[in-house]
Amino acid sequence: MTEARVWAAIYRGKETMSLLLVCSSLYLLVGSETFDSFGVLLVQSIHIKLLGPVLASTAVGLGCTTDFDPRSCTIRSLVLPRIIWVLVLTFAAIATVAFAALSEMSTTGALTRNVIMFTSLALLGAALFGAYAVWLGPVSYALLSLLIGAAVYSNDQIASWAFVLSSKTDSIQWAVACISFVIATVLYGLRGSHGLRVKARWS
Amino acid sequence: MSNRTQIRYLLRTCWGPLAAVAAAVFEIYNFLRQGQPWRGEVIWAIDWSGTALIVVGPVIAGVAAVDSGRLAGGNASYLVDSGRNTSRAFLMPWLASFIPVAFAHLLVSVLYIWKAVSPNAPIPVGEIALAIASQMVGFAFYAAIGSVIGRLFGPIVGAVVSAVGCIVTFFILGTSGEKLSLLQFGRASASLIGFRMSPVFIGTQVLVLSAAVILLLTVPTLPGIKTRKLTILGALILASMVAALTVVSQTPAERFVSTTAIPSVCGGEQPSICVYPEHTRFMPYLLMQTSAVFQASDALGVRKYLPDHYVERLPSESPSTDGNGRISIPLEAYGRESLTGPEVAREMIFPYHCKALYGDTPPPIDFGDHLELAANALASRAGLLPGDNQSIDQAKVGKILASFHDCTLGQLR
Repeated sequence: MTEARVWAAIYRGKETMSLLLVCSSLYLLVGSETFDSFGVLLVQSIHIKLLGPVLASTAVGLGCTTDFDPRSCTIRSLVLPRIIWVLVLTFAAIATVAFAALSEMSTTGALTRNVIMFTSLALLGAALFGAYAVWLGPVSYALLSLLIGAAVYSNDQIASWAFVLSSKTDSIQWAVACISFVIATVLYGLRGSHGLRVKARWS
Repeated sequence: MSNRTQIRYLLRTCWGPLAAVAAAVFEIYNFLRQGQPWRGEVIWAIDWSGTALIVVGPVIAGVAAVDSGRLAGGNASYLVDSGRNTSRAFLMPWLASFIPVAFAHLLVSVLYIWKAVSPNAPIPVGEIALAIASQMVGFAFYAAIGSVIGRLFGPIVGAVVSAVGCIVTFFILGTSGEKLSLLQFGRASASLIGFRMSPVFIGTQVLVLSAAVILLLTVPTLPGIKTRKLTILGALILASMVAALTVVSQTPAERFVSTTAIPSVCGGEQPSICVYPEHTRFMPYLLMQTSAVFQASDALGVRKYLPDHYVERLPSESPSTDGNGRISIPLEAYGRESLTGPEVAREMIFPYHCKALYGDTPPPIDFGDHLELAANALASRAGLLPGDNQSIDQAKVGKILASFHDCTLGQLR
């Protein structure tokens, strides 16, 4: 139990909680709105609530980073604890988003799919580039989906790779989201967040 | 601390230059995609290149936040003048994110102009320069937001706050079509012939955003390395800037104003066609296709329903009254070199002169089917429809075209 508390203390849990809080307050303010233009005209109106997972997943990614290297005080493998930690935070994010969106059951699936998809990008950022880059994947993917995947000029309908904007789910989308989540989680489990060095702060 | 130290820090630590490489790749992709439908129209091309800011802007803000947050974090205190209220060192993360990405955008803009200028069309140099200037100021604004937020919130939370914050800001300040949307740098969904950029709109955009950038960069902070704290004066400046931007962005304004455009490139005899000089590239195909459709109409005995002269139509035009036919280039055709046979035939027989098509009541339910049938029949007889040569009901085509001619729109007698 002590170990779990230490674990939670050295990772960026505070930032995760604040961002999830911000995310749920945004849901209360604008969660039921839709928009049909994002600078460029979009092929169909899109629920704002589908984009909430960008923030929630970034929160998860931040929660998986730390300034302190747990390897410096244990010789145990950290792969399993890291994976469990990812799952705990992801579950918290899904719960936050699903409750805050106060949505009918039909979009809960899409929200969960989006949290999983965006979280895998956030985790890849954390594992490959460190805490500074957690936001980069989710934000870029969301923006590219809007501008390239859903703008009127390029498409008759939302492009299949930009499925995070669609409020309907299908098995291929679930497969893509889950597979990338598994890959990102395993990679993060093996590497931890990038940028950690076992050396003193003052060097 | 010397300038050299700062530059070494910039090159080794700042993400700005790296982000510009990614931005350049995206801009090149944006330049090449969809068959470059904006070719020939410089204004449309610059508007198209401005859509890149929708993606690049928030990302640059996040990157600037990472850079300035790290600079403010204490580990780089040797770069910051201690003892003074503000430090020039904090311009560095802003410059590192703004200059490379703006330079990349400038280079890509040159590519756009090179590809978009058409020989016969006038080149609105002033408007182009103003529009590109506004896009540059846009990059500067996004980078400035990021560098202030990164300084206040640190590199990790600050990056998230400024990237997501800029998306929200863009929602509020950049997406309205009727108001002075300060962050609107491109929409690019259709041909812009018959419009010019409003100098008032773009000029205001440049002035207001430049003022905002200067304010953001001079927001005072506490001396030395304790730069994460916002002073009361700084908070006041930020708050009044947000208020001013909100007020300005609510002013009604149009980004484009209509202007006269003359379809001056003409050719052909049976029929003759005139298109806008920006669309000269369609001319050879149009001449060939329209004369083939004309011959087919002779063969089908419906020649009398087609006008002898066609003029390119603007999407915003009202019913034509001059007796000339209209050909409007379909949106899908801009990415290609030519129109398909059925598209040309459809445009040639489409009754643009009928007021009934411009009202609120939809045309008769058979209108679309009949239009398709007659267009395909003409294209097929003209040899412009690849594949099957289905049998043509000559009498029915005649009746359809007669109904288009007298505006009963496909109600056959």
